[in-house]
Amino acid sequence: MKRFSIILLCVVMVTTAFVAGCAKKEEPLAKKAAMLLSGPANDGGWNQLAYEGLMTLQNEKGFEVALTENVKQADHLQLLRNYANQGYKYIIAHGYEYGDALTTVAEEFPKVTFIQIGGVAHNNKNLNAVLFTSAEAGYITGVLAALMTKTNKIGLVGAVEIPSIKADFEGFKKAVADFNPNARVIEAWTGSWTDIAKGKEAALAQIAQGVDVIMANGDAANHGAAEAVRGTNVLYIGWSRDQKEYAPDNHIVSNVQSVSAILVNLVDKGEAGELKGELHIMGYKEGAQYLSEFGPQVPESVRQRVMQVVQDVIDGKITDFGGGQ
Amino acid sequence: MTEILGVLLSANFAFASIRMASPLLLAAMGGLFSERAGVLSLGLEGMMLSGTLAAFLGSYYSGSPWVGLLAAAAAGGVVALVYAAACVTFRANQVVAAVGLNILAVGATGLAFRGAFGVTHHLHRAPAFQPINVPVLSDLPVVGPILFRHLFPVYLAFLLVPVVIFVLYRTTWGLKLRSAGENPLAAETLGVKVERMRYTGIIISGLLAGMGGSLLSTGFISTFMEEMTAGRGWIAFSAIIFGKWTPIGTFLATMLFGAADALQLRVQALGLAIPYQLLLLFPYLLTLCALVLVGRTQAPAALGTPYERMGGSRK
Repeated sequence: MKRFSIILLCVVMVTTAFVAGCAKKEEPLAKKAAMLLSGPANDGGWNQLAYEGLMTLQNEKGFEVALTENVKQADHLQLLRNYANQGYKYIIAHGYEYGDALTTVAEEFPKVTFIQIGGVAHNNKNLNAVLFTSAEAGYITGVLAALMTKTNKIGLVGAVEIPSIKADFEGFKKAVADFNPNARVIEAWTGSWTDIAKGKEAALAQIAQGVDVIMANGDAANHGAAEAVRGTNVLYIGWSRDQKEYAPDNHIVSNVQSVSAILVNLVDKGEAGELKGELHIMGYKEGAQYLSEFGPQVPESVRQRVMQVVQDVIDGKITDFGGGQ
Repeated sequence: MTEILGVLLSANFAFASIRMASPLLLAAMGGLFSERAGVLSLGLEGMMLSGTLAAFLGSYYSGSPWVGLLAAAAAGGVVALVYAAACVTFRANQVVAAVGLNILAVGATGLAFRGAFGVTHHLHRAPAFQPINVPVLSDLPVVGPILFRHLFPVYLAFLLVPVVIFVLYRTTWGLKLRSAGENPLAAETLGVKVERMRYTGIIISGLLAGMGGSLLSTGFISTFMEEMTAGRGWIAFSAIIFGKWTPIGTFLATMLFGAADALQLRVQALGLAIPYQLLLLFPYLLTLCALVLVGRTQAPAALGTPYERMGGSRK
């Protein structure tokens, strides 16, 4: 009896595998898009921008969508394969950290279209990358900070040192060196995407050192720095989206990244068969990044100088952003 | 080097140390009650996180951080009650129960927050505690600005230390609680209701850990973010061990940790050529070294062991 059961089980398994294998070949990929986020979708920053793009795909483009949040590095391969096996046509991995896993899985599933946002992984076939030029954005915001500081001390608060934030900070420091060589840039990292209290403490420590302009990059770092400057005269520069409401009286500008629009645009291209596995550089020139409105503290002359730098970056007249991209 | 010394001697550093230690102190003082009653306080992180959200919601909807504080204590207490039921009534493995509860708290708080506000990019802020300047004392030179210009829960944390010492060592109830953690069988034979003592100890840990969490979302910070406790509950737990399960030791351990964190951020702000990674791990490194120096510690004898009543009256 027992042996019979085992044989039966084997037969069933082989048949299932065979049937499943056959079925998979014929099944056309439905309008389904899946997304992986390394943090929560409501972080008010980087992840939320992608989430909003996914919702646009669902609500306006008629996609069936799936989302996995708070993905850990160890689960990248597994999750990408799962979605690919489930017949998702587009799999979007939102962050630099997915590069290796995407390269591997894209080879295994040639019919699925993979998109990496915030990275460079592309294979000229089915893996597409979107890279935001953090360095030039850092440079542009750095120019504003360099021209606005009165104490000649400027603070940078970063969450986790990932390449995009690092490039942003390098560009920022280059701009300060170019436009106000007397100013000093102080850099702090909190090592956490979610520890707002630490972000605030890092900013407070900088303020105690005489810093009067702070730029923050990375979810909790943005929240924390904004909490620290509220009620003081310290100026605040935001990142990812227009963060005016974080500190309305201190906010002088934000570097806005239009992740959502770009994602929808890429999928539109994919539907038209125009997506070829390329690296898409998204910066000020492409209109993928832009400055929010300036705060009332920023004098007209400074606005003009900053906008001139933006134009020079777009025209390719400035190309050295401290080595990063 | 002189710059670092300057930081160490600054009032700003001392003030920040106290501020950063206080959520840990509240949670750790609570955890002591649980540990001394014989139940591991590994669930502090989940209790704290629940308190963080409850404080935010309470304050957001009522307009008062005081309501938030009560809500935080209640939320921490409820999580603790679940933990107590698992560990005491059902005699579950305490480590497994605590870890499970912590993971559950991450999911549940995230879900509740989204249920209340959806996934919008707008910043939701709740009224937060404002600093209370203690009359006369806050005007004292040096000491005034460091000690007497804090938020209410910060004062609460520090005033709790002598209270906990008194309750644990000078009251019959404290003796009973400790006996439940040292030798529950002997305690039971002398009429101590071990299970009740353990329930009470765990619930107190939840109330205080929840209040510690409130400092994050309606104290120093006026908004909520998923997982914003960022491991403070675990640090509070280790502070208890580091402090040899005594209130004074635990207090010093949380202060050391708060000061180390305040120091490393200030050293980062000096812009010296020290890798920031080294500075970030400084508080942990310091704790590790201190643990080695402290040497052998004596945990409550029955810590972590589920207690089964004599004669196995309940199977």
